[in-house]
Amino acid sequence: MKSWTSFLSRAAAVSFIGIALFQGCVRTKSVAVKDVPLNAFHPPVMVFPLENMTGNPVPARDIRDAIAKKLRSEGVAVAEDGTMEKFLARHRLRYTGGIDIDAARAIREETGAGSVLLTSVGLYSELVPPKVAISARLVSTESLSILWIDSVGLSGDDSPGILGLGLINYPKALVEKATAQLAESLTRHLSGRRSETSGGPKGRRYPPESEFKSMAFGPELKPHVLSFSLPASGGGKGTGTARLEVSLKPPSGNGVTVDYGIRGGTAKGAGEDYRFTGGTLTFEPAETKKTIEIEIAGDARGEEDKTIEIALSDPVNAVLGWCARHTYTIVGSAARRADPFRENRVVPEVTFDRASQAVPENACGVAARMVLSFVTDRDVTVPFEFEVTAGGRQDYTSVTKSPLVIRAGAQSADIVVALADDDRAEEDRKLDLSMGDPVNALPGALRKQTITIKDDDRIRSIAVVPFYNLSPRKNAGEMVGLHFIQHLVEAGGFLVVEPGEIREKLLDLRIIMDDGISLANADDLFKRLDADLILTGRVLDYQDTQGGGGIPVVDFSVLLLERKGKSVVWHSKSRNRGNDGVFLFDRGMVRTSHRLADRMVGTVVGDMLK
Amino acid sequence: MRTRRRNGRFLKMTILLSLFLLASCASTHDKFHDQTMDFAAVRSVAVMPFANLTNDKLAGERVRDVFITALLSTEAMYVLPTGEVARGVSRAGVADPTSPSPEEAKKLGELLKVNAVVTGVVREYGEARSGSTSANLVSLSMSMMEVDAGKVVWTAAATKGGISVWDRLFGGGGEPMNVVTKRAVDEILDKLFK
Repeated sequence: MKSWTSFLSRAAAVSFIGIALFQGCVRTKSVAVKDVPLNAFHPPVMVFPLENMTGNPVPARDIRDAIAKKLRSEGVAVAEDGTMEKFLARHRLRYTGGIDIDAARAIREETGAGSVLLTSVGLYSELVPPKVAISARLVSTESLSILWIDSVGLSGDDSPGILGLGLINYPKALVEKATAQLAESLTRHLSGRRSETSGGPKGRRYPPESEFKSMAFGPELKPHVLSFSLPASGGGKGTGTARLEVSLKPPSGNGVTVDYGIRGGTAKGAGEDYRFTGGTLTFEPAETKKTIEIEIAGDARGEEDKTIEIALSDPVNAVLGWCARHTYTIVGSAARRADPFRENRVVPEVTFDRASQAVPENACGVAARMVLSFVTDRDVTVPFEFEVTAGGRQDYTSVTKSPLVIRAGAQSADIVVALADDDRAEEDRKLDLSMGDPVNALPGALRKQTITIKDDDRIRSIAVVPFYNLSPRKNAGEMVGLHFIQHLVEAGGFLVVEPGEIREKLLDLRIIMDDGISLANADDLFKRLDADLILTGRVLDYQDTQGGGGIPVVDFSVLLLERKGKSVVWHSKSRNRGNDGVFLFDRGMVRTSHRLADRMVGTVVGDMLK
Repeated sequence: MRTRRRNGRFLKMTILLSLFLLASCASTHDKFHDQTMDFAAVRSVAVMPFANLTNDKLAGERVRDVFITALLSTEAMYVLPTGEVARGVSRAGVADPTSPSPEEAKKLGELLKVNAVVTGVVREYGEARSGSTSANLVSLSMSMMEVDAGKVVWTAAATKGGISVWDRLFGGGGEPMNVVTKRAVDEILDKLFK
């Protein structure tokens, strides 16, 4: 009996030692996570006071302190509370739901903090089961970019388990769980490790009731642009067939069509100077180039240069680029005519028409115009040369060969430069175009023109304007906006404008939205925020119930406006309830509007960027 | 005697057949298309706030958002954002945006640069109950007013959802509200384009 007891006690001792060793192994693993020297690489994080969006009392100080404490314990350098409070008092900052660029700079200069942690509480209910929803984001004080964003929505009865053992009945315990999740997600980001759950909507998909995506835009919401490869070209009579290339960039997965036709020029059609009737180009999926052919009459007589202006119009599933018109010049056979300007005794001056101009990289070409002070009876010849002064790359070709000839009787001529559009994000380039010594003219005041080629491959910026709130829930528009910001940042490929900066501009412009954003308001915001896209919409429901038993409901519509055409690129409407798709034992039930909205928004953003 | 009975049966059959044929000829009276209108010329429209005859005070806006998305996705016409429509309504001084007069529609057309305005009425939106059974039900009607002439060129109505025989016998609660709304809007659009 004794030996049996001693055997049992020995077995128990071995088991305890085994468990202790096993736990030791586990702890060693988590210590390794904590040991990442976060404060060694990151300047301090300033944890701002909470923004309370619930409309009810919230233990804001406790939640904020819990997050700061958790971050400190994980090794993150957090700015002192006193420093933060003094800063807020000095700058009279009362709104802590976002920061604008001035506040960010001031924080950096005065406190040395490299980023600010902004936290918003969207739901806090103490009735059993308690509910809490917190959203947090880390914003750089240098660039005002959103470095990290995450949110958590919890209900005490999320995982009741067997016999209700998993229920959380105390709000404090739920808040602790929520803050721990957020702090863990942030430290994971700061240590450069990717979250297992990031990069897509979590849980079930909630497809919108209806959705529209303009097929003129690709997956990154960049437009499929149609344009001529060159802005101008030419040839003599008897050239035969002139071939003008039209390009589509980037290639589309759908068929694209565009009409083309004559829109002006001095040449005459119907076989006199050329034969051309216009038509429609059809790009098959993935096709990027098409050719328009113009038959130039070979037997026509003419002395002067004549032009044909061809334009693209009515694109389907694409948009027209800068170079939607092309000028084809039929060079005259004998430009030296009888002199009608004999009375001109003085030699004219030749000069550029302006000192500088800027064009986007996708403009396909640029024309630098040289003008004479008055017309003359002789051809004026002007040699010219290019010099790249900034940017370092030579992504251009001069269509006009040096020297430029301003024909007798004409007052100006263009140096046409074709630009190569690439997909690289790079700095703007500068070309200096300078003239040499002209023949039959004197050099004028402007002998040099600087052409700036602006890069169009920068990351597209998107401003999420607070949704227009039609629901009875306070701040529901801002809450849905934060969900979109989170999913857009997670999706990557966009520069998401900090909401604090948007709020500042809305206040500056005194914009009060009535039933959503108007095109005039959108135009002002595009300019002030320098954004490429504006995402906004309307919230019709964002319902949570106090206590147990209720079912959350979220209902919103989304509108995405594009800057250039001020057109709607995306529109969708979503309405879901927490029990959608739930059939047995509440399995899959979503208990907070925060989590439901998060999944719905995740699905919308996924579809938008598909 | 036998011949008379046979004649009577023949007469009954003829009457029944005629009734059946007449019934199949009858129109549902829930669609109107102005035959003189060139609908291809309508390139942009403003969808006005819908009149709401239901208990859900946001039913009009819910259906309006679904309708706008569905109309945009046809790619047949451009639909102005609701905020832009609100700006136009305010600037044109439209007394009742849910049913603008021809003069007001014309003014809106000039201000918003649209070819037509769409108005709608949500007649039913919510649960229909019968005994212990319930199911979602949506009933809508819409019309399009061409802004140059200020005349109605298209109207249509649709009702979807409700309690089916299956629901009555076995329960089930019918389809979700968003599915029913989408089906009703799709039917309305079918009546615009067909």
